[in-house]
Amino acid sequence: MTLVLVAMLIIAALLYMMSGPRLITPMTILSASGALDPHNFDHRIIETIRLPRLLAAMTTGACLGLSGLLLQGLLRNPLGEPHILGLNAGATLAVILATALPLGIPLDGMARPVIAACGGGIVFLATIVFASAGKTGMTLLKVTFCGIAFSALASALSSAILILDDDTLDKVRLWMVGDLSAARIDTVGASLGLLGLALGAAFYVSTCLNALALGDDVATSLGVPVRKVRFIGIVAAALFSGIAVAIAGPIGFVGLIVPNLVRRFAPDYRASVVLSALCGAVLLVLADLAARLIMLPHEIPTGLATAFIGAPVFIVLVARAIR
Amino acid sequence: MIKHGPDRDSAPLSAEKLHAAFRNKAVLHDISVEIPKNRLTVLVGPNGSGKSTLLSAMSRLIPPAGGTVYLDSKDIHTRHTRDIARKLGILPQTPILPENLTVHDLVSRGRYPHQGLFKQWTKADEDAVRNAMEITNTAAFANRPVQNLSGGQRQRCFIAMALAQETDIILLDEPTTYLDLRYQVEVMKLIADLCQNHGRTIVAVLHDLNFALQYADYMIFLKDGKIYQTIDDPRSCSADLISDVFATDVVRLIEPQSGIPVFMPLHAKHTDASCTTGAAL
Amino acid sequence: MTSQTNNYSTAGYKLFQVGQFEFRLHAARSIILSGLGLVLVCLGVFSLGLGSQDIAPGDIFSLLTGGTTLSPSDHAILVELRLPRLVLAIICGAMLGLSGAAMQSLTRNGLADPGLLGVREGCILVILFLTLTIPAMPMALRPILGTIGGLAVAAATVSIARSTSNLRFVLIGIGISWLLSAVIAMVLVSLDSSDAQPLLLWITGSLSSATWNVVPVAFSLLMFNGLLLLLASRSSEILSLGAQSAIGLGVNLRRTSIIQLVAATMLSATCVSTIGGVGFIGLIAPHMTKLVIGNNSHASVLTGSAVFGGLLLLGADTIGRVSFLPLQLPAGIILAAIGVPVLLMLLWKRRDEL
Repeated sequence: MTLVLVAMLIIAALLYMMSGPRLITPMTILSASGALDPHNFDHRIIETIRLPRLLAAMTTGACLGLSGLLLQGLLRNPLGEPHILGLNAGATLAVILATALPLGIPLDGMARPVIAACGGGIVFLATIVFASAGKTGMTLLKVTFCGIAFSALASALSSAILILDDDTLDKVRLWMVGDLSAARIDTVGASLGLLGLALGAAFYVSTCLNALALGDDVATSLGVPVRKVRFIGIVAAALFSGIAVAIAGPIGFVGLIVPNLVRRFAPDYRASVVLSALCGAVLLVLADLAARLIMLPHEIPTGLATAFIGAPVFIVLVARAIR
Repeated sequence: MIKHGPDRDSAPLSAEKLHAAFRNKAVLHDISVEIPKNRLTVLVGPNGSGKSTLLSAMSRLIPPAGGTVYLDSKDIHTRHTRDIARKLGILPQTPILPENLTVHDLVSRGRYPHQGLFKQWTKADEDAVRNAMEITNTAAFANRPVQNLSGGQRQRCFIAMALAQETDIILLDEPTTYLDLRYQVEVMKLIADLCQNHGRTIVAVLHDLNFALQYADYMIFLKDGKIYQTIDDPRSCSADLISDVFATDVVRLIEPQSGIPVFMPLHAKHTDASCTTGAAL
Repeated sequence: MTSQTNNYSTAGYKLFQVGQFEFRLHAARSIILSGLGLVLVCLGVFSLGLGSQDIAPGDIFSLLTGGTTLSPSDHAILVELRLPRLVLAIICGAMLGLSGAAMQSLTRNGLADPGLLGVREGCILVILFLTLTIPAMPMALRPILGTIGGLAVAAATVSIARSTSNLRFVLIGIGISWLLSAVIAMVLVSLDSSDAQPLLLWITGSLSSATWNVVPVAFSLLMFNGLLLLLASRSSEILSLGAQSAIGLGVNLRRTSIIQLVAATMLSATCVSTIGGVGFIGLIAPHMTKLVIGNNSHASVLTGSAVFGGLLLLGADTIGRVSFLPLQLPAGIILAAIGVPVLLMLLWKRRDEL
């Protein structure tokens, strides 16, 4: 399974590097990876345009896949997804606020993903606190609906700020529709530390998710520190989605599709961390490839391409998961 | 040639060779029955015997797969639905109760078939509503939301809505389900009173056999979608009949005041001499 | 001509007879509704005076009475800019309120809203497509054709969800509206940015380009569909007791449902084609109405929703127009900021049952 995904990732990456308005042969890519010739036009396209975007797509996809996996596992909710549960909208709002307000916060390097993660985390927290009210507790229906509602509120605030503040709009316009063409490769590099941290947390949490899938009571009786695991898991999920938003802006539905796909083939949560990361990377690389090519000479934002696949998946999941 | 049903004075509602299906599965087979005027007719039978389906077919809620239902000796499916609604009212088993609706407004909705573009709300409507609330004893809480009432009061409100419709015939689908014993009695007394003192013809599906025997004037026993037997007097109901219809051995006891029989299921544990004598009574 | 039949009344109702026409009015509800209408008028006059050029309410009244104490430029601002915008805000708000009330009654679902169910996106998509392919098409045709798109989406949502009364239906509608939004965005991306800019503003929903020439179409469609809904209001009232009770009372189920669905969709489509995609009014207005006058008569809920819808859109547009001068916020954003808390409140009320 892992090998299949790795092979798919390599093929997808190769395709990604080859295609575009200008076709580059695999031989050229090979020679470029051996020795980069700064005077070769194809090599320069690879170096300055396609390779950074490919790396950004892979990192973002992996982060979104992992964030979705953690959310679905922790909430026992097949609709758990950073976009639906408000993390993406919260992260976007946080970054826009930090850009617009004269707080003197530097928005490069590590600060960007951290701010995004905090914003996402706050909105997500509001979602789950609100959704767990009432006798029935946190049901699938309530969580999903609250997430969508809070997302709508955060998006409305974001748009209000952008309409009122032209400078901020200029800075974030492409990024905030969720487009990898505006991906910030410097953020990928700066996020590596955070990524490692979140990855470690994800591996720790994944060992408990199998027990947690049987319900909180069973998990407790199996010796899982439920509250601690849930807290760490949610922080990790917020970090993953924060990193993804910081790099590429809010891209939806990857986190919805990936875990549902992975868990169909590998029901064990421990194995699914690696699989989700790989699967997310493959999916986003392919989606971005489609976004670049489907309407040549125009490019559509990456987030649109994922919405085309993701929205029908969401509809099917709702129709199946909620009676 | 227009077929005519039985005489409207003796049987205002009747079915002839009625077949009905639910989700492509035949539920009623060849049912012919006449509902007597001004009496309480009760449909009884085990689960899945077609009681509710028969009630629905006779009230045009579902179209028959064959045969005819006659209302006042005319085929019910050739008549305008509003005309029927002025002759025949139906109270489904689980009507939907909109939020925050007051009793008065719920009962008012029963006047729908009598209203028109120019007759939005008339004195006659007002009188019918008031009358219905008086008969059912619901006038005292006319301005309270229905959802805040007890089960028995709520059921009385729905019956009041059916009464406000001012139809001669009222069909009730399990009007006492989900009610406490006390409210069951309250509702059944009201229904019996409507037949005796207010000239209504009522057909009810009842789940509880002994309740049915206590109040019914005419009983229709259904089994496997067919009419097993009809009886005019509950007193003539035998243990064999009940055992056959419900596929359970029962003992027949007599309620001393009314002389109406009561049936108890016969448990294997208790099959001793005392009960056999009971059955012999 | 009006004669009140003796002094006989029950449960707050008064009976009236005008010739052949007999009806009843609920005293308290009628007073509240008229009061709300008055508030709407006052808010209208008040908001006319607000803006980058403040005009005193007294001057506005003098305009109405014919005396002109206004300077020509003020006169032009009032008559050519603010007045059509005000009228359109009230008309479109009323349309959205009515549309939401009908939708909620039809689906027996308090969270149904043309915006949440994808119906709005269906209208937008069809109208967008028509604007791009047949630019010469008359304005009056757009709402009608948009209705078809909305109906198609509604049919798709219902057939996937099967039952309309639960939250699952709303979630599936949201999924469909996401998908359609992606299609709409795709169409916009393929255009030149100079073409796409005004379309984008239209889709977000803005009254800033309001002119007098769309008012007649919008007004006549509001009147037509509003009347249709009012005529069907008693049947829909019965329908809310469930299909079985409704058949038993002689309601024509199919006709009533079709009237409600088509009228609600057409109102939404008209609004989309005049001012664009404004959300949340269809959700909020009926609930505000029920909060104030209760749920007892569908006709008054419809009337109230129309008035509240007008109030909401006028209020949101006025706030957006004047609070960040010289910049303007589209009414849609203000409404989302009001609408989401209302949405959450509704969810909170049902927290024990979901």
